[in-house]
Amino acid sequence: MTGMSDTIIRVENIWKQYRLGTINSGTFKEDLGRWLRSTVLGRKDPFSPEEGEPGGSPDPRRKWFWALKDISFEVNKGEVVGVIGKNGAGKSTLLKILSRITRPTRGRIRGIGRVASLLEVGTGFHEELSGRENIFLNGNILGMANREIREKLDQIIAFSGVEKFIDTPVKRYSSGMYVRLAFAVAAHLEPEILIVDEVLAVGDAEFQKRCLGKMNDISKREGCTVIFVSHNMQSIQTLCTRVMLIEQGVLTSQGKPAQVVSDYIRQSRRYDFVKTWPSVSEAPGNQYIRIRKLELLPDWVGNQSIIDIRTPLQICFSFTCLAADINLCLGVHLFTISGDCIFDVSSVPQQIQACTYEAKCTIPGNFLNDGAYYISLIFVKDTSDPLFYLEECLSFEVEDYRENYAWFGKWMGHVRPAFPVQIRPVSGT
Amino acid sequence: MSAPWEINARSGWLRMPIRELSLHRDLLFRLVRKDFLASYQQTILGPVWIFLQPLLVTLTYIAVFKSILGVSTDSSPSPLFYLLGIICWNYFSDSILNISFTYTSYASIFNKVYFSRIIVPCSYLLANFARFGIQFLLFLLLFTGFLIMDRRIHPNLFLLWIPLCLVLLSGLSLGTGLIFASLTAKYRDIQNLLSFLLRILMFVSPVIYPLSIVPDRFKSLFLLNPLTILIEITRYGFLGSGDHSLISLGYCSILTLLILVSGILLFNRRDGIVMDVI
Repeated sequence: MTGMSDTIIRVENIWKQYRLGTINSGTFKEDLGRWLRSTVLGRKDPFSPEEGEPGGSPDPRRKWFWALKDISFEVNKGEVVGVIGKNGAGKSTLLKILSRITRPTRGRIRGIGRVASLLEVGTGFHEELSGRENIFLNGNILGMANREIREKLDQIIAFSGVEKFIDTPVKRYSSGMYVRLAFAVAAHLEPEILIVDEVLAVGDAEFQKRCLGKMNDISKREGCTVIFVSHNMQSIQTLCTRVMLIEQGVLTSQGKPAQVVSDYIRQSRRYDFVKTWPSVSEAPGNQYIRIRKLELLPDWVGNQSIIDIRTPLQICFSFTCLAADINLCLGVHLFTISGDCIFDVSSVPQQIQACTYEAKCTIPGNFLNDGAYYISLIFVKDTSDPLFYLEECLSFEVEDYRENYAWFGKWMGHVRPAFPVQIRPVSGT
Repeated sequence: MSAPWEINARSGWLRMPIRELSLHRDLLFRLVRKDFLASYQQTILGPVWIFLQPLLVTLTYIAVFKSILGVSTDSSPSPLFYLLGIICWNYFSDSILNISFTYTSYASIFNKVYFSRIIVPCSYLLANFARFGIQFLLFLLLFTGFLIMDRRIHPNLFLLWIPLCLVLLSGLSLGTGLIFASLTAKYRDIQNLLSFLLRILMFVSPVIYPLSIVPDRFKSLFLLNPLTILIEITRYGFLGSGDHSLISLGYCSILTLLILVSGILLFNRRDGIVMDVI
């Protein structure tokens, strides 16, 4: 091993394969049959994981797929590395391999030092044990002696904020308490490498802030190496020294946070903005209404290329009316990704004929909070008779943007209008 | 402190867990304590069950097998005869059952953190051994009582082989448990099979009857079962009746070693691929 002085993790050509579909129904009979065919009769096993070159096109008959393809990278001591990518891109699989929960199918990883990991919501806690006993259990799992853990115990309990329940079995904890305690344990037990998956989204804003601060702290002061997955681009950009982008199991780019993040946002948002249907018969709709075009037009400020909370958004669409003389009213519904309706705006009812119309609606800048949204359209006849409802026809994400704030927790609320609270001095005390 | 590690695709078959166990002593004993305490949580009598359970079973066996069915206990007093068989059998069968559930009971932890997986089966074994130890003290108490009151028992030098018998019984439990843990991790149906197999095994082992009542032509078949050998030798040492051949003990040692090693190998092999299956 050369140059391992600063390198703390070296990942060499990692591949990971998963079996799709019937993972849980592995029955003895099926495997016995396979074993008989392949070993005794000498035929090729059609389900063999090693068959076929890795990276070859996924064959639907062969129920295997590559979650990670040829990932290689190095991490130096004290770095904070952010991993970004879409859901299902392989980020969590990578963290699972790094924290030794599962093995890679090929390749190897070499590293130095204690690894603490925080994957998904419930960490390595035993349900029946109390919070205190779980702190010890996790410490022991990390390879710490009871004495070392006892020294850290008060700090951990204080940080987690669950003092009152520390002797209650963790099965009675709320998911927020669970995560708080889990993070407190992982961050305080002096790991050399801390691996954190998108778990902090569960806690409240105040706790998220403390966690991100703590991660920053232990990397700066104790030289702990942090690898974390997040969908919060703001925290990725603020905390990380380097960002890696994983797309469909491939490490496509890595480098300076600002660069990788803006590249990622730009390309991942490019596609959904325009949809057109040249032929009426294939267009979505029914015997009254056919949608011909849907478009989301961000009103960029300067050379900006991502939608953030400042960007006004124009929703443009055209539709063909197939019936004559309809008193039509058209509504635009905006929902958050979790399904809460933000608004329902509609047009003035008007008489329309059998031809193609265009409609527009603008969501002003400095109105929506950061988050993912989708739009549904509704066509109503005579103000009460629904003709056609097109659900989730456009979706977009609004990125966070903040100036003059050192705080990067999730901002509360569905909207973030720009009317700040005014403070002025009044005389006297 | 800063120990280097490596993760790769193949799990080491031949990795023996001794180093890992000594490195993770604190963890091992924490899990043992947890297993031990967990089984008596939310019970009224708590740890009293450790004594009560074998005593109740002994009384039942005396009533059913001795009094009603008239099964012989050789020349030994039936409480001692049954109690010894029961605590040995319980140790064996509880250990195997617990160990075989390793991956199911610990799935939530194994899914989130890494530590050497073999610590869990070892902790189950130790917890059961602790329980066995306590029950064994109960037996010794009863044994001393009978030794003074009753002239029918003849403890002898075979007592010296009993520590070896207990080591073999532990190894046999661990090895068999590991084999089943590896199998049940992949095939859930094995769990049902296991409780059935254990029941059968209890009937073909001399727990409720002495080997001496088995017809001669089946005896050599029964002596293939290592449990038969271990229980018979233990009984002979304490009570003075039972089959006691050192050749059988030698055979039993070799078989135990084989089972234990293949259990560890199989478990090591499963380790790492198993979490993708559960």
